[in-house]
Amino acid sequence: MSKLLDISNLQTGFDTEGGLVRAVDGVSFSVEKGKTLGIVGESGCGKSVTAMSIVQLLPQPAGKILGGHITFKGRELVGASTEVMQDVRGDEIGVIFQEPMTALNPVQRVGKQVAEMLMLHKKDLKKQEALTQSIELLKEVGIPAPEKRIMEYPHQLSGGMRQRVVIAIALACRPDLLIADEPTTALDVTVQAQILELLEKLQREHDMGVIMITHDLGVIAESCDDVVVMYAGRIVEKAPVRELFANPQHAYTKGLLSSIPRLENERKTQLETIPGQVASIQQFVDGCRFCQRMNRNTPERPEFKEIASGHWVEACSKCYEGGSI
Amino acid sequence: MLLDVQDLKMHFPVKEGVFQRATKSVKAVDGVSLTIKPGETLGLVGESGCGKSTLGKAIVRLLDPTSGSIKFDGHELVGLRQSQMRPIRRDIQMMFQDPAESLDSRLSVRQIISEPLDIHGIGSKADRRQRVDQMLDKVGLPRAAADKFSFEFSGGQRQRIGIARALALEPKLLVLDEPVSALDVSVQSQVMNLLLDLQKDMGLSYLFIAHDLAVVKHISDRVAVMYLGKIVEQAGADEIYKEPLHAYTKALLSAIPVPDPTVKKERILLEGDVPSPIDPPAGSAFGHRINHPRYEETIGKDFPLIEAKPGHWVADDPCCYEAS
Repeated sequence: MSKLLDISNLQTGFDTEGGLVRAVDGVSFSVEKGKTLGIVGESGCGKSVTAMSIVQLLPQPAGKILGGHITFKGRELVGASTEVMQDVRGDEIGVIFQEPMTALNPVQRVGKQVAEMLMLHKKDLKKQEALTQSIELLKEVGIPAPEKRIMEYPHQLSGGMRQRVVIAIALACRPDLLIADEPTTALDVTVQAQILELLEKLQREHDMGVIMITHDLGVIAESCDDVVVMYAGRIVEKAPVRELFANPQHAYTKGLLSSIPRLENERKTQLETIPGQVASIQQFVDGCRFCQRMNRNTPERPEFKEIASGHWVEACSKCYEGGSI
Repeated sequence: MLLDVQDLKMHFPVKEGVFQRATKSVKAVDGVSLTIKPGETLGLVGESGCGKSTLGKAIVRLLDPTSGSIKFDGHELVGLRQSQMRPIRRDIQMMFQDPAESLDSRLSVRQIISEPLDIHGIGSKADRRQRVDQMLDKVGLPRAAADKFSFEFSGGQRQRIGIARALALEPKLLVLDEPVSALDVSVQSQVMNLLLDLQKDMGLSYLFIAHDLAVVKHISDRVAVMYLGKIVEQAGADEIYKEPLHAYTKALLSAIPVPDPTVKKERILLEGDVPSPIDPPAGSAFGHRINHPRYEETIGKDFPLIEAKPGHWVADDPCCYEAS
């Protein structure tokens, strides 16, 4: 098993009127070839910022990587030049964004948008040849009658079809790593099932590493090999997917897993909840941030330690081992 | 019955050409019948564009139905003028999906919650103040929240403000349109618990519209499944999840990702999307989507719900349901 991507102690911040805020505060994980890593967490936990740091698509000029390392296929990406990043992005790392309507250019035909990606990264490719390849790509992602569809504009396609176009663009250059940022959140459940199935098939065929960012634990359970749980800019737990669901260790993970309504639950009973709410980013403390939510005071940042093979947890004395919420 | 909707239709004209003539119509809701008893929750599920939100708005008469009947507490609502609707509005309230958009950011929370009381001229100023405080207690917000603005709150808290506003008039029926889908999981469960508590407390009836099937099952007594403007199946919440009869319900249920990695289930993968309600297929809408061999037989026909089992209704469509 070779490490495709290795992130260690990543710190990403934003300049705001109220000073510098750290949206990602010391995050480490790695992705292997052919495997899917899920990042789960609630809004504002830093999961998307982590992913956008990898491809350096942070909002400019406010966003910047403050420290840490991102090693992709042995190369350091932190501090890499714009030119290097332009070559990596799209060619070696593909990205699927959440909202297919905003990810596509509304005034350009979809065929051209797919072909653009091919021509950017294969300099000697002729326009006609690129369009022919685009048709093939659209066929691969399951778009019916692709030779007609390439002449259409995004607004003429349904949400599911648009997301397929976005996937075709992300996969056009056969990337080694695919970052899927909430790829199915804007879609209906039957269309979501289609897209997840498609991503699985493409991953198998191309032996890609995938980072799947989602807030949906169902999607995580069905599509990931390993899971990272983020809370307030940090990873609180990291484990293989079965281990995480069967044996969650951090109080936040436990709370998250028990607060989802499940079909097998008895109806109209009270659901488990996590009291309080995430502190706003300006107020993040150095100590355990889940304790902050619980109104507990832990002055020091808990150690992130491996408690079993591949199972890591932020070992706050109150949130882990007998730590209850 | 608190609410009895019969054969409700909500069609919108599509205007085309230079003269903006209405050439076609979008049949957003096309012959829906449903009932809700006092204290009961009916869950309404379906994918985007199936007409579930339009149905909700038509029931509270934010839209004027094209035809059909809505009987609320014995009164016929279809055909009433807005002025005649006003006294009835006290008893039917609606809550929307996006708490940021449905609350006026220029009003204080106190003004937002007491606005319905002002409109209906209920109580003295002091009474209303007291009522706002009570409502805040009920939805679990501190009384000090009354003097803040809605944008100072998080999504879950805003949704609580929306609930407080909807309940200020002590309605009998609350139409909830995707009330928790914009919320994070841990906050979603807080709001759902609140809705369950309030229902027990105040004897409320809910029409709970959502696309998340697990959420709907948890909160509902009965569930109706909508596809392209029509209800295709309706049954008790446990029953419909255990033994779905309609092919669409089966596909929908099989598509939900289960938060348990040890479960490997067979997904029924559908092709394509929900067809457009502007140009719906001539026959069975779902039969068309799955390319059913008996689709031809269904062209031009309508499939009323039949009671397949006691309390379990399904559209008698040869493409989607086989009577055993």
